[in-house]
Amino acid sequence: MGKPPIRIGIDAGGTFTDCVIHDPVGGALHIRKLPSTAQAPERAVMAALALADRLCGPIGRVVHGTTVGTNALLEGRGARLALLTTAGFRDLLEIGRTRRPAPGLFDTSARKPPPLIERRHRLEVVERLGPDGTVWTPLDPASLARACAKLAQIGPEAVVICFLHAWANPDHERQARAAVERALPGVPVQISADLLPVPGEFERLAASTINAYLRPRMARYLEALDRQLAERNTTLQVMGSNGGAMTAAHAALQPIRTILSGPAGGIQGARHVCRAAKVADFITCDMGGTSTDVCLVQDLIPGESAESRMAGLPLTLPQIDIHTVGAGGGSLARWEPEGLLRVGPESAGARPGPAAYGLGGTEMTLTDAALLLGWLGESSLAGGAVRLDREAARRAATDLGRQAGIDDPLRLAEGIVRIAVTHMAMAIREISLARGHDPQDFTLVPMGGAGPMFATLVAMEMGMRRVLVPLHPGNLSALGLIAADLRHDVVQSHGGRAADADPHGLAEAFARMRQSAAWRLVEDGFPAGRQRFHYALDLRHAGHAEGLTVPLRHAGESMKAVVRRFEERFETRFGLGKRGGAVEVAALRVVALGRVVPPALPPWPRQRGPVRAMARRVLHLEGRRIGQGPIYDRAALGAGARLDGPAIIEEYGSTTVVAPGWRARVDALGNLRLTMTSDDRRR
Amino acid sequence: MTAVADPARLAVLRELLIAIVRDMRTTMIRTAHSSVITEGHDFSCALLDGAGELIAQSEDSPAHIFPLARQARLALAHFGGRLDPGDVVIGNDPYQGGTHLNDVALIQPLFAGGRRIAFAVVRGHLADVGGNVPGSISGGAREIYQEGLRIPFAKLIAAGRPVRAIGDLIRANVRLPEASTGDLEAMRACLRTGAARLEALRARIGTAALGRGMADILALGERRMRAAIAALPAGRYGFEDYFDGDPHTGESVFLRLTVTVTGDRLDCDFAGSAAQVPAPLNCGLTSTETGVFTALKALLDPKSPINGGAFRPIRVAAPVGTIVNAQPPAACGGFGEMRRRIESVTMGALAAAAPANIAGDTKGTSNHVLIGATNPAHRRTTVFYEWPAGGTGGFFGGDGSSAMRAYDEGDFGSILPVELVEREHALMVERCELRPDSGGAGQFRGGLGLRRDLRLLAETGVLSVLSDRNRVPPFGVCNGQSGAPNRFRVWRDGAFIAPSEIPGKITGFRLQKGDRLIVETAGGGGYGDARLRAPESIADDLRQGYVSPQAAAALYGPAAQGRELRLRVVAVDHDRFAKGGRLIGLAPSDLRHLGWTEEAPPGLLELVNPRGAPLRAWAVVAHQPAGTVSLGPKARSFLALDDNAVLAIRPLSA
Repeated sequence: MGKPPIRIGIDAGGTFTDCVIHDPVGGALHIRKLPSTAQAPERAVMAALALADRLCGPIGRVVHGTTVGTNALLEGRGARLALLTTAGFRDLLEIGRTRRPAPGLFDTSARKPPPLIERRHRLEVVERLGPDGTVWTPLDPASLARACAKLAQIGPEAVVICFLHAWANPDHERQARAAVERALPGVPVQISADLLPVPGEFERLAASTINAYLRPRMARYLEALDRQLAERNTTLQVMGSNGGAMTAAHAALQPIRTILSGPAGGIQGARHVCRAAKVADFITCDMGGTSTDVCLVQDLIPGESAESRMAGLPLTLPQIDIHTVGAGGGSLARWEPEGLLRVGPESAGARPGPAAYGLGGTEMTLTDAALLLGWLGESSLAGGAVRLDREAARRAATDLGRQAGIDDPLRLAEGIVRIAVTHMAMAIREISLARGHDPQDFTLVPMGGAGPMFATLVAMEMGMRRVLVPLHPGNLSALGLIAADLRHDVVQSHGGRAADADPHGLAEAFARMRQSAAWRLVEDGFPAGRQRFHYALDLRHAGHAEGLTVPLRHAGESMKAVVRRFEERFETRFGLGKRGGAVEVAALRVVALGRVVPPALPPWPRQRGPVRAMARRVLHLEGRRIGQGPIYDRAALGAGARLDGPAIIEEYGSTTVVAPGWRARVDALGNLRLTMTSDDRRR
Repeated sequence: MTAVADPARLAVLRELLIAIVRDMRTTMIRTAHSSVITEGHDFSCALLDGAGELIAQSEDSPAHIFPLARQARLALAHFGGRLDPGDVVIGNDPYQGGTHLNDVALIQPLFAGGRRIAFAVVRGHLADVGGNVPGSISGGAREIYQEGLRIPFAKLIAAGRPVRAIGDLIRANVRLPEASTGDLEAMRACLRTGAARLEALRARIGTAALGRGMADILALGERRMRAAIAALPAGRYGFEDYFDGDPHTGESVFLRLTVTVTGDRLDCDFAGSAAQVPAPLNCGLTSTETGVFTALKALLDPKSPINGGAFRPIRVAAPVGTIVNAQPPAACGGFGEMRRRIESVTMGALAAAAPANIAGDTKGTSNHVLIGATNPAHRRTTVFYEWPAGGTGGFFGGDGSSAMRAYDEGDFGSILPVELVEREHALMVERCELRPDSGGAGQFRGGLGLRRDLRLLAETGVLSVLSDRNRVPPFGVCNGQSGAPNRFRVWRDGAFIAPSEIPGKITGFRLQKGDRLIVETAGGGGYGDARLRAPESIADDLRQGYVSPQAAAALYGPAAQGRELRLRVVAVDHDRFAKGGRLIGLAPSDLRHLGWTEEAPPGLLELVNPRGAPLRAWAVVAHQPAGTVSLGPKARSFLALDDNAVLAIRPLSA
């Protein structure tokens, strides 16, 4: 019996690649930040592996959070595509549902982004299915041959095939795929029925197109990495948008499932930390330079959604429900023509960055406001590696204030913070109140460098009384990668009323779905003992276009109970009861998990002696001036340490503001637990 | 810029109020029954202050902006200024702040400490409100009685108690009582959401702060709009346009607007527009205001949130009994057509004064298409309803988009998924594709319309269409050319048949099994001279098939100039009008040059406006020196032309 294997999580971001290495000997977690190379993200990954090699143990599991797919889509650097579709529908990708990109109301220059497949590369094939999958017109071999000949001329890097009603009968798509594969050997072919076998031709086509667009690039990237890992006798896994890991082979075939790879890692990291801290219901708030992502997690299960858009196209696959607002550390403060203050969505980003960075930025940002208010010190950033220039921030504030006759930079800074906090609170509102959850029942978990700075203020805005600032809030994603289970989502469309559904038929359908998922889990290296399955039904009221996904307690749960739960949830969320009306089953879902034992989080050293501030400075908080505001060093606060707001807690890569009326305590794992002790300061 | 007392606090409050409306919208979309709401989002929600001024809206359809607030104020007046807590007022009367009868509004006053502090309002399109045809909307309606149930203001809920008679009356008069009841319930849920969220906000910040904040928000909206108007050159501007088809005469229906900018005030007067017609081409004054405001918003200040303060500097007047201030029993089903043409003339009038955001005209209609039929698959009678988008106009810097909702519409779908249509309805969608050559030529081309073919699978079906811009096409601007007009045809037994005398106005046409309805939506108007279009853009259009080689040669090739005529302007005392349209007399040789002869009599032409929108007119043969055109004072003023100026004229019909 050799040494137990090392586990590695590598989260590749735009500026840094975060790496967490779990050494099973002694259970240490090694955390490293490596610079990213935009054009060659694999370099930082290799560097992370080299770090692990030094630990001299076998490498067990490597899970990667990647933005390769996301960036290729956003920057338009995907494959050159061609499409085969049902005759009469070559323009479906361009017409879509005729929606306009948002925001575009009143904007006469609003434009659709160019289609991912040029019109001249969209070819028609004579064939037609009916809505139940019956063949109305057989697939015409001559038209298919013509299309294949044309494809050979076009020379695409990948081919999409999407026929009407193919979700109900994939035969025509499969025949066409065989012909295309013969005509263009080696070129990836994406049929719509494989990726998303549900009704809705545009959504199916859009998903198939995005997937095909990303396939060649993602396959090249992952194959290169996988070769490196093969030398180390292990394989690569990739974090999926659904919060579960997937094998590199699966990710190379379905890169569309990696679009939220990075953020999903962060939420898994928060989940891992919160599980150890015994916090089951929480809301994450991940603040970066230009935007803030929020996500609601209940019973340690992140919310899921199948409604998001990218590159003007709908993404209709299960993914973590993340809501984004344009408020980040670099968000610019500007005036509206009528004299109202606005913060974001424009951002100074990392370059030129906030005025205080001294990199050429002259406009006032949220970070400059935090500096003026004393929340950040001049050496607070990256352990003092980046100096912040208070005078530059003051100049930016004076310039901004002059435009509206406000000569007090502090008042302006307070206004900017108040607006940014509102933006973040609004994002939390969208995923909590607007969906029938009371935020007061949740703990706020801030992440990213700037998240902890605003957490207590955002919490007060939403009536939340608890905040948990994880250890290393800037590196949670990489930790989440190590802890995540492997996951497959299986979905099958269904039609008909719940009351008429044959229980045996449903049970059989679930059994078949489970069987196929189990097969894949075994192939991925997860034997029966490490498999777990969750079942759910998509239900909707008759006549409604959309409903809710309702998890089942077990595959054979009685339909009556499930429908009742659906009705209750629907009523809670939308405020309209429709008890006893007809309910339809839209789809069956199975989530198959390959279970991973998450690494234990090491205990945090106990506090020895009294808690002491490392410095004091003037703070402005909640309209109050605090002359001798205490600044604490987080690394020096041991488990059990307590302190009261107003206070600032600094650490490498992040700063936590403890608002007046809040108390901070360091828990046994080193997390900061902030609780509101009095709410007399609520606005 | 004048200082605002507390700019951050007010910005925060404005955002909180808009978030409440967003929540109302979510409730509505997720709880409604009809696809026109769940898919088409044909509804709007808003919060008004206690006096009925619009405080907050979200991404709602602009079609309802004015009516929501106006209708609430009229409802309040109707009940003598007295509404009680727990009241919900219902109404859909186009003459009293409504739009068309399908749009039903619910209005709920909200109170704090016994004082009315706000209204929550919602207006939704009910799939059917009775009337002559399934879906209620039809191009052939002559009086409002044929368009369904007209509901003057009534309490649907009185002090918390449902008034059963009102609900019963509605259910008894509509074809889809279950769906209509469900949608009304969704609207009530939407109001409950708004009421609860506003109350939570009020409890937090206090009644006084909420009231003060709302007043400040209105004042700032007013200030912003006044500043935008004051930036326009003061003076008088005007424009005119047409609707297709007065059923009595078959001729066009005339619309005229005169805009006067005085300092930071803007007055719109529709004097000179046609008297109301026995066709669904009339609207109440509120809908006219909506059209004016939508275009002004797009031209002057497209980005800011809307509130009632922005309406204050704008005054809209129209003579009583005209199509834009119609009186009972004028049919008002075409409110979507009315407000869009009102937008067109507003943009046309101010194009030269506010050039930054002008664009080629859009499809100019809702394009309502309704087919009632019994689906043999599940033996249910269904009403298929779509409102297909067209191309958007070219603008300075870019081509218009193809088959996309325009700037004046909410962001939602206009066609249903084929896989849903074929499951629910006895219809087969045979094709759905872009319509090549339909985008107006220009330096920046208009977007393409779409073509959608629907084959009836049932034994019989009933087709109704309400559309416009089937004859007079969407205009291009700054010398850009027209987009192709909307077109609706039926293919039966190997030949086209016209389902109505006036194109696009179809009522209850009997479809037979196997009939194919061919819907073609308009392309957007172009921007700028087609001769300035970049060669690589023309080459790409050809490569992709957006433009055919024949059309490219005719529009962008050397032949393009041949179709145009440059004439010297002769000033005369009167503009000439007849049969619903402007007339332009031309010498026979000039008419021939434009392609018109004794056998092919002259038709529609446009007077090109290099700095704005073109005027359209009907050509007639006249004793006119060749190479000249006589223009009255209005035409010269609209086109900003001097005597002896040179004017380009372009034929629009063969």
